[in-house]
Amino acid sequence: MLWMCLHFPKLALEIYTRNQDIETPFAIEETQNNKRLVLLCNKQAAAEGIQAGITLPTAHGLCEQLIVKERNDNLERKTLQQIASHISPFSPTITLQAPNTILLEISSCLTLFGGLKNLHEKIQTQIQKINYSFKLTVAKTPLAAELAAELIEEKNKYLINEAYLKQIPISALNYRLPNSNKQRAGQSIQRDMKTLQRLQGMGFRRLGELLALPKPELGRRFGKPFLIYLDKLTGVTLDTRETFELPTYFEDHIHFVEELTALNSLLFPLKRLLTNMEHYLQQRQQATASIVILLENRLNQIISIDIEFAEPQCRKDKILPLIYLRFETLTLSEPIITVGLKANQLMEQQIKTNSLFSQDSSVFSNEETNSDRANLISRLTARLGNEQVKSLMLAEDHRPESCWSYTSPATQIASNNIHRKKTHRNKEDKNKTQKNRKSEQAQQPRPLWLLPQPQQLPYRKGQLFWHGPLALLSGPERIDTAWWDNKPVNRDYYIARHHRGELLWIFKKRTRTLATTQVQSQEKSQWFLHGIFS
Amino acid sequence: MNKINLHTLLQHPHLWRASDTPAIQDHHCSTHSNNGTTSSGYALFDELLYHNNTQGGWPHSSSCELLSDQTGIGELRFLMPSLVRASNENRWITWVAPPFIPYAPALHAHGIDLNKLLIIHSKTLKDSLWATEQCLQSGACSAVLAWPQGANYQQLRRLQIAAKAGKSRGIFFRSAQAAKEASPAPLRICIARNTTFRLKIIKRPGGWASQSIRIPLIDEEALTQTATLQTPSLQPDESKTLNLENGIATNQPQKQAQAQAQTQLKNDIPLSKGGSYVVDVSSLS
Repeated sequence: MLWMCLHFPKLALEIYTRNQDIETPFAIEETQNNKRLVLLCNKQAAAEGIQAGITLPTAHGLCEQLIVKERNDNLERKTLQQIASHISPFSPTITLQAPNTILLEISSCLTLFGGLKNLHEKIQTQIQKINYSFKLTVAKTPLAAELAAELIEEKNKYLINEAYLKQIPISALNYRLPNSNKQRAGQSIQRDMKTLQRLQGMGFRRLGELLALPKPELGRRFGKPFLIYLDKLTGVTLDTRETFELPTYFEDHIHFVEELTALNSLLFPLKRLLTNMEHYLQQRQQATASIVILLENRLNQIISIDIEFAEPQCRKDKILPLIYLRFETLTLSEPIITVGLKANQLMEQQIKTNSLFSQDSSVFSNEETNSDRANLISRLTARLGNEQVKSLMLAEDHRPESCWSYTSPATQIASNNIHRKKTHRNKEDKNKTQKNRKSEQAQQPRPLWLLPQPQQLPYRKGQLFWHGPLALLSGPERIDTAWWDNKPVNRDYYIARHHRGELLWIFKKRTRTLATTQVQSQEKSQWFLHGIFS
Repeated sequence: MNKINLHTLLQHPHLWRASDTPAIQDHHCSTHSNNGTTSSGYALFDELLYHNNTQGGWPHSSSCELLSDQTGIGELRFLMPSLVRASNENRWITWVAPPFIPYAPALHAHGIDLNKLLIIHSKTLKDSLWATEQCLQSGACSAVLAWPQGANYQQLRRLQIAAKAGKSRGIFFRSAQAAKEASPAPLRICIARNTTFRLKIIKRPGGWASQSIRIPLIDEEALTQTATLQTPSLQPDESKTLNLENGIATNQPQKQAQAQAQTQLKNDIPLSKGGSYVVDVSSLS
């Protein structure tokens, strides 16, 4: 077994600072024993004399412009998970050690990546991409790797051997109190200072001195847990840990030190997030059907912006224009403190292949135009919204208003694909449908324009009137159906001609009983305009 | 000096010469070679658009305007044959903010592939123009039908450029008033209806404005034939109408009732000028 430990000493700070160049002094505070202490600070703050461990009032005294944020355990845990998924291609066994350490079992992956040196380089470049400062060690046990990662200063000596281990001072041991893991997860490691002080009091200075002693004697003096700790450290006992399971979706956030008020200033951090997402998707050969942009404002309200694509996307340069379009119609009421990007409708990437010997190169290939069509839909819906971009389809119904419906254009592209394949197989079918269509057409003429609502036609001088008197041309075509549901239709349709020559599709409402007909017709016309034969 | 000026002037792409006008050139190729135009489906109209050795028809990659104050005078049936051709391409036929609902069964009956139709219900002129431009220049639309009422010259020019860039056909329906204004569209047609569909080209590439011509629309005969008219309620005599309604109320077979009505019709109703019946609705109840 060989373990690699990635230790992120400045994680709490870099959550905020890694993606931005902050010029103002900035620090993270943590409450310890009812005292608010500075935990970490950036260079600018350090230049003002602020250092870890001083109290907050002192820090403010040293530097007036200091921006302070409280440590956020939740966020650290999430960030650690993100980093873990970022380096997941390198090892099947990854464990997270709160608050800021990741362990990878690498003995099984060395052959694949061509030796420890290569693997080390690859992981190093991978983490440098996401801008966290880190320390890296490799040791035989997870505890030893962890321990060394906290202490090690030189970057080149990452491989921890036994000799190094023996030189570790007792005071630095990461022996935790039993159950300390169950304490606040985000807190810095709670060492069992009492035991360590006792050891130092007895005159031990290095770990090697301790390991040379007979174990039963040690166990009697310092208890079984300490013995187990030493065994785990040296690899005598197996150190089993919970492995980290990769989330099946992408999520990343950028937290701002200073609030952002302009939408345009959000685009730059969003580009970073998109780059991360692109990377994530490419590694898995996946694409996403939609993304959600999460904006958290200073009142901690979260605005979520859904952007759906007509076709699964994985490229940042295809997605970014859609975000621009959406942002054009957006206004911010409150300043933004966090921007996040989420993609949870992941699917396999469709690799498009064009045939090598295309039969007619002048014509666009089907896939190509389909993706063009889909891109257009994505752009239109990004700005206008899904409701305003529609396609048409037929429905099985006799009612003129129900025998068609709006549908989503994306499904039309998909159905078009299937339809094409079918027609290629069987051209006779096509001929048949054309014949059917023609016979339908011959039977019942239908107008090209339909009114959203039938419009009542008044009488004037004894004639039906719609921008002028109307004359009936042909009819009736009786449509009497749907008595079984809520909207029964009982109408006689006629084609009428306007005196200027427009042809109109009008109908007369029929009522079943004679008495009501007479009463109603005196009050209201039973004639309605429903369509125009444009 | 003058010579050079004249020469460069003649080279100018916006200049057309009278010798290029359609009437003078002879054209025999009846098959559609499809170099830059789509046949409109109306031979009379195609001929008007014949110029510079291209086949007559709707120009590709360009915008055209149909000017009329009326909606529903046959403008869609006039476009239908060319739209059916366009729907064979794997590109959208986009309708931006149509005044009514394009009726799917009728479009299907004409032979348009409904999979290719895209309807955009934009609410403002700004959105409509934006959507029109996007569709035109995307290259993913074979035709874009739009109703840009109130658009100015610059906006229309952008659309014309977009149509060129996207190899798309922009069809803009504008009011007759717009005929008096300048427009960047290379083809502008005034359409009107006076018993039949008429059009007058007021601007075309390489040609004078045309006379007003009559175009017999498809299905015009099928729609206007009066033989099928069976109007039970045209009777001036109230007792007869009542009689008829009774017939239906008592579940008398409908055909019989209609036959009855038809005979009454022949006897009583005078034909109006257009060959149709004048409906006297006051007596309908």
